[in-house]
Amino acid sequence: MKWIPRFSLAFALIFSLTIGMASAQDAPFTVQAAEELRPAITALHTALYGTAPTFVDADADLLATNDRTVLPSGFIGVPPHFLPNAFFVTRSENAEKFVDFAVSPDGQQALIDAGFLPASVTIVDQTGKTVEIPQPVRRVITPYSIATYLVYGVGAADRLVAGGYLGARDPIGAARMEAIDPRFPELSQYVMTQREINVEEVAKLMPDVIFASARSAWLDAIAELGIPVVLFQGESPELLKESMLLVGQVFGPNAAVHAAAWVDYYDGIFSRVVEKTNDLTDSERPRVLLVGENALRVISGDMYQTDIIAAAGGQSVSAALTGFWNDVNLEQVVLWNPDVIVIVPYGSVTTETITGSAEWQVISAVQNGRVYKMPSWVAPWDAPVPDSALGIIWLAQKLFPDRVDLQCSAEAVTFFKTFYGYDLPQDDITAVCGAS
Amino acid sequence: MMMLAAKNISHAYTAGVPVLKGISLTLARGTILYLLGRNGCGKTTLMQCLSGTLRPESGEITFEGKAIHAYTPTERAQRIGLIPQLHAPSFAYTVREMILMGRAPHLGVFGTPSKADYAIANDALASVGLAHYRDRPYTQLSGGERQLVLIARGLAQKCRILLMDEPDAHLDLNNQQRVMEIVQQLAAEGLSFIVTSHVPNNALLYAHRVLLMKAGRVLSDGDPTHTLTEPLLSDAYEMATEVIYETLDETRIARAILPRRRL
Amino acid sequence: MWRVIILRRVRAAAGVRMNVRDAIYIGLLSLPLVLIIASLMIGLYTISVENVTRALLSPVFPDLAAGLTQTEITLVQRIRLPRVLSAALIGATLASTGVAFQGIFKNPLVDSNLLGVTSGAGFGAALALLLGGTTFLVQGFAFGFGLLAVSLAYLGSRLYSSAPMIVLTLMGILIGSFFGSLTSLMKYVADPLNTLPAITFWLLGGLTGVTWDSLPILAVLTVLGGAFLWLVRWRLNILSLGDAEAATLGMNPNHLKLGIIVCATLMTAAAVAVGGVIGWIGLVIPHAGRIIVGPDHKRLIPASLALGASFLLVIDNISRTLFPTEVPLGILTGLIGVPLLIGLLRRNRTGW
Repeated sequence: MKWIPRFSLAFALIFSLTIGMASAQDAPFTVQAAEELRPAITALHTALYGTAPTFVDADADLLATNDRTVLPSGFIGVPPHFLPNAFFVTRSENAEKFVDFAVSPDGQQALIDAGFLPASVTIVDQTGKTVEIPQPVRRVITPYSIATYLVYGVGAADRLVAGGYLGARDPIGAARMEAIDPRFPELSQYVMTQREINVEEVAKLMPDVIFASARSAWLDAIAELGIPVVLFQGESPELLKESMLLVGQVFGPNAAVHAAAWVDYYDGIFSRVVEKTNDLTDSERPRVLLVGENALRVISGDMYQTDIIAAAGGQSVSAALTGFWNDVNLEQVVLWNPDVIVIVPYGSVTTETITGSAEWQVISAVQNGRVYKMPSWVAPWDAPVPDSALGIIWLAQKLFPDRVDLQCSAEAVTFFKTFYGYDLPQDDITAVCGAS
Repeated sequence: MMMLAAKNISHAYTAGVPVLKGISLTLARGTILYLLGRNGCGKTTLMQCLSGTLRPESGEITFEGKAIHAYTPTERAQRIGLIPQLHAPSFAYTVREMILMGRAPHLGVFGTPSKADYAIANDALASVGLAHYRDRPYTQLSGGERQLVLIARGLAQKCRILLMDEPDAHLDLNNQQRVMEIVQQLAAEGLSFIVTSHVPNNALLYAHRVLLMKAGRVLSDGDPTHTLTEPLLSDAYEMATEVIYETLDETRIARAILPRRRL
Repeated sequence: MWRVIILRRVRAAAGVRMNVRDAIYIGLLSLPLVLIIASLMIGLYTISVENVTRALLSPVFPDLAAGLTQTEITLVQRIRLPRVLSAALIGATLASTGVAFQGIFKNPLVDSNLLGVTSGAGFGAALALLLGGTTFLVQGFAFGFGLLAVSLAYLGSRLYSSAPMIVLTLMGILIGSFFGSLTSLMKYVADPLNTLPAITFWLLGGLTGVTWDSLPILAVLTVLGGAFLWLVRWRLNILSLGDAEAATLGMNPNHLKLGIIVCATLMTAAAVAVGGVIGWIGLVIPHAGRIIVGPDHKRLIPASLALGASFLLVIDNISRTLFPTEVPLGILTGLIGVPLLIGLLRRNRTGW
């Protein structure tokens, strides 16, 4: 018997379009489900095959349940939820197509028609605006390169039709992103940033919903299209968690469960670091300077990176600064005299840029060899994206090598499997995370 | 020997459209020579040729027997000066700074005026009677005063010949007289002038010699009493002109040149 | 009788005024030196005057280093000294090349960017930043593209021989706008989260990252260029009268003008490569200089060198010490310089 956890939904849309022709050849399968779940499953099966499913009480090809204990040991990820409190476990390949359908927009539509899911959801976005979004959402655009990764994080990437991709401009990032999602070149071909968007292009893409930054320059123009727009401003852990949950709500039960799972995972990392470092007083916490694309361009206290440092058990020396990136001079760095210097994953600054400079030798972090370049896979781990959980793990490990037992590379493998549905190449991620 | 001599010079800016067609003239020491003629008759081109800044296509110009293009630009500028029409420079140099610029041909590229140059400038300024204007901005002077300052610059330049491009343009009668009396004074001291003008009456008043030009040719060249006559002027200006004479002690003196009124 | 007395008084007053002017001129020339020393004493990190002095002299007298921390020595010798020197050199360069360009183009409303050097350099830097460039790459690209822009303008003007200066000015403006558009394109395609702020900051000018590594090319070009401008300073008076008048004064204006353009372009490109686009100095310091010492380039060039150096020293001191964050120089030059100039204008209502 083969266990096939299904949570990657890539190409589900294309599958659902060809289902009409394929159904005649589909091999039959049996379903085991509690009585109260059976009407919903029947609705799905009828929508797909035109017939009622065959329910059995044991040894079924497909199991519908809300009991996680039935999942095999070693299962990584979130099982496919067709209702908020019920997921499928497939025990035969024959049932795979049905499960894909159940979590697809078409399956959602079938459940809505049968009254098991609401026909629309109403959310309050991060600017306090109430947005009503008809269900299911089949097409979404993310002209906000951080929101794109929120969609990946809740397992709804199959609904993306266009978006911006942070960290995927360089050839390495682009190649990695294409390995995660083969549709990446197609999805990223549009000019879509916070400053610039082509309204007519958006109209042509016919999105059901638009995820945008609250600071986007073109919101008034896009509002004319009458498409629901959800606005985000995620420069803190709380806002990031809220963003994920909002995105989950928009895409229905399967995505909502993924979002909740990510929030649990993220909170878990916070508490694991706190557990190991809560005996430290403020003065004992490592003082961290996080620099950007230039060794003298540092984060402000308003930026999410400050929270990442705090979550990893350190404290940002530049927390008193406001706004966005700040340019400082070396005298200010000397005044801060950080214990640790962290360089963002992108940009040309390397550890050698700093350690090799005669001027920086007077800084503690340089003297103690504690200058690090933060790794990343595609999305930068210092930005308010789901992957920033890995940034916290990596930083905690660098700040407290003796206390924190989180392993960056192992965690990264689990993270990408769970939230991106992607098997990270083990050797590559070990190289990226560096020796611990 | 003549200081300046031009022999049969011709020039065309565009091939086939000559502006000067075989002009010859000579200039002796201490002479005020007026160039008269209609707009476009070639006066300005001739002045540029004589100053050496424009090389005519044919003909020869000599200064003290030597072709002026055999002199270096600096040497030429030490001998022949050109006083442009009135204009305001972009920057408000003082009168003395303007005059000191006349020392340029006597200084190297990296040179700046010395005490001696300042003394020369002060003398030049005194010669035109403006010593008390030394530190005034040149741009704040009246037109006549500016003309005098430019003459003083020519003096500081130590040239032997000053070419003046319409010194009477834009000046009132008083200022015209003030400038030209200084010119007469300087000519008496041996300096030579070639003056272009559109006021033939000034030629009556101040010229030692007049050269009438028409369409790039010399119409007449000589003593004002011989050149400033009704037929020649009428020919030069292509209109009927009238010369008003006054007889004093049995000598008939031309007093004014007027257009003949059409009825 | 009366006239004589009045004349005497006027002359006496003029004499006194000249002496005051001489004193101001000499004071102005020594101002950068005073300000360089004063600037070395101040910074975000407090170091006593005595320790700064000892740190400065310790390379010559090693005994003086005793008792100083490595931090103090590094900050004074490796951070403050190169930064203060580059501020002085860049300020002097921008102001003096502004005077030179205003002189040879007979136009008090231009600066050394007239032929596009700064626009070209801005594009070069933006391109290098977009390519994820290091400081070295950014400076190299800025310098190279600055020279390229002016070369293009010059070559373009050679296509028309009739009115070279006007065509050259026009070409400069065209090439400058072209590189301006290219810079906008770089900003448009730049990552708005990271690269764009870096480009914007560079385009506003700053000396945040200056170390001794940035200094040799800047120092050599600006000192040699400044020396050349100093030597030909009086000739600028004659060039400013226009080509025809310069020719009657025995000069071939084109050779000297070309020399000055090449020299000012090299100086400006080097200054912009290190300091970014620091607007305003090249345009307005020359006017301040004229108000203080008059339009005669014999004094104006030295005065603008001194005034430009002093002004940028003061501005940069504010930029690096007012807040923990650096304030872009291009912002401060306007904010502080404009009221200063208006004040000077009010007190001296002389012509230009």
